[in-house]
Amino acid sequence: MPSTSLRISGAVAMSAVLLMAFPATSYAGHDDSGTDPDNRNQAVKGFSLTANGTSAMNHGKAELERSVISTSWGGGDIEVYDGSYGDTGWHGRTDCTDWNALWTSCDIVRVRLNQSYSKSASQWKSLGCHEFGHTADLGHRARSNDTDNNSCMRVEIWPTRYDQHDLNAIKAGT
Amino acid sequence: MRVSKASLARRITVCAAVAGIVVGAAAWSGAADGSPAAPHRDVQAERILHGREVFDFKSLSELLATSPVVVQAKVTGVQPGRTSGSEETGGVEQARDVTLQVTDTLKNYQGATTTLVMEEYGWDADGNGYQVENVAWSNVGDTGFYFLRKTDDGQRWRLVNTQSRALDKGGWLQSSAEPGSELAAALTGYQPDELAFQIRWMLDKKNQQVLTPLAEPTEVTGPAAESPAPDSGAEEPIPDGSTDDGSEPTPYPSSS
Repeated sequence: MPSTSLRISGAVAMSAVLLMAFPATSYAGHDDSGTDPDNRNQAVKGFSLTANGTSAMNHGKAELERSVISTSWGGGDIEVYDGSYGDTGWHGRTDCTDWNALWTSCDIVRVRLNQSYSKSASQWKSLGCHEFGHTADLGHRARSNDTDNNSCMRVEIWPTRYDQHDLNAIKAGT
Repeated sequence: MRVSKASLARRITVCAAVAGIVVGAAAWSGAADGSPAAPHRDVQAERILHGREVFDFKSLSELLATSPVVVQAKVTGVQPGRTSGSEETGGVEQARDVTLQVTDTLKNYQGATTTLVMEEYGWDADGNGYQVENVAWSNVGDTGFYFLRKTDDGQRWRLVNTQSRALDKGGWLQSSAEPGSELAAALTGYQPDELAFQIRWMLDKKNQQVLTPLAEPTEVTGPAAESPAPDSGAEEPIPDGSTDDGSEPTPYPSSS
C-alpha cells in the first residue's frame, strides 16, 4: 500500500497537470453580454477631458444618480476619456477593463467619447447618458419599445434622459 | 531487475509530474501565440464592447444606400493590424487585419486586386481580445456580404457599422445587426443568392428610388474638435414614471 508521502506526491503531480494544462487566460465564456457594475456605488473620474467631454460625463453621472446607483468622484469604477479618435463610425464606446475574479461583474469600466464628429451640447449630454447607461448594464432601446422617444439608450435620436423603463432595468440588473 | 511495488508507484508519480510540466508548458506557450517571445494576444474575443454608433440602419435600403462599397467575399486570412490610441485617450488598441477574397462586387468596389484588407477590433494593450457589439471575430473560411467604407488611413476598409455584415451560415444569412433589431429582422430568411439578387435589383437605375441613404456625420478636426459645443439652453424635462411605451412588461429587455 503506498505511503502517505507517495499519496501526497501523486496529488501534487496531478495538480501540476491540471493547473498547467489550462492557462489562466479567460475567454468569452463569462458574462460578456453586458457590463455589470460590481456594486451600486460608482466612483467617476475623467481624464483630461475637454469641455464637451466634461459636460457629457457630468450629465451621465447625474442621470445615473436618478437610478439606484449612487456616484461619487474618484478613480476605480468609471473612467472617462475623450479624444479625436477619427472617422471610426462611433460617437462613444464603453467596455470593462477589469473584471472581477469570476468574470461576473466589472470593477473598472472605461468610457470613451469621440470628438471627431460634430455634436451639439444637447447631443453631448445624450451621449454621456447613453454611455453611462452601458456602465450600468443597459442595452440599446429601439423605437418599438420606446414609442415616446424619451430614452437616451436609443441610437438614432438624442434624448438626454433615462426613462422609467431604463431606471427599472438598472434596478433589476445591478 | 526486481522493482518493488512502492518503487514502481514512485516512478509512475515522477513520470506523471514530468508529463504534467511538459504538457503545461506547451499549453502556456500556445496561449502566447506560439512563441514565448511573442506578445500575448488572445485567440478569441473575451469581452464585448458597446457604444453609440454614427449610423443605425433600419432597413436594407438604408444600409445599401449609405454603404460606399458592397461585396460578397471569403475570409482568407487574419493577422494583427495597426495600433492606435494612447494612454491619454484610454489606451492603445490593436486592430485585426482581415483579408477578404472578393467573390462578387455588388457596389462600387474597383480595387486593382480581388483581395482587400478589412479592419476589425481587436486587442487592448495587454492583448486581451474584444469584439464590438454583435460583430464576432472573423474566421478564415467565413463567407458573406460586407458593407464597407475606407478607414481613415485610406489603405484598409472597415464595416460601415456593426450592422454591416451578413455571414452565410449553412445557406442562410446571419446579420451582425443586434438580434431582434429591425435590420436583423429584415435580413432574416435571406439566402445568399436571394440577397445578391435583391441588392442588384435595388441598385438598378430603374429602382434607385427605393434607396434611402442616411445623412453623413459632420467631421471636425483640430481645435474645432475641442471647442465647446453651443448650448441651446433648453433642458429636456425628466420623463415621468410611465412605461406605457412598448417597453413593458419585460422588466429587463436589454441583453446587450
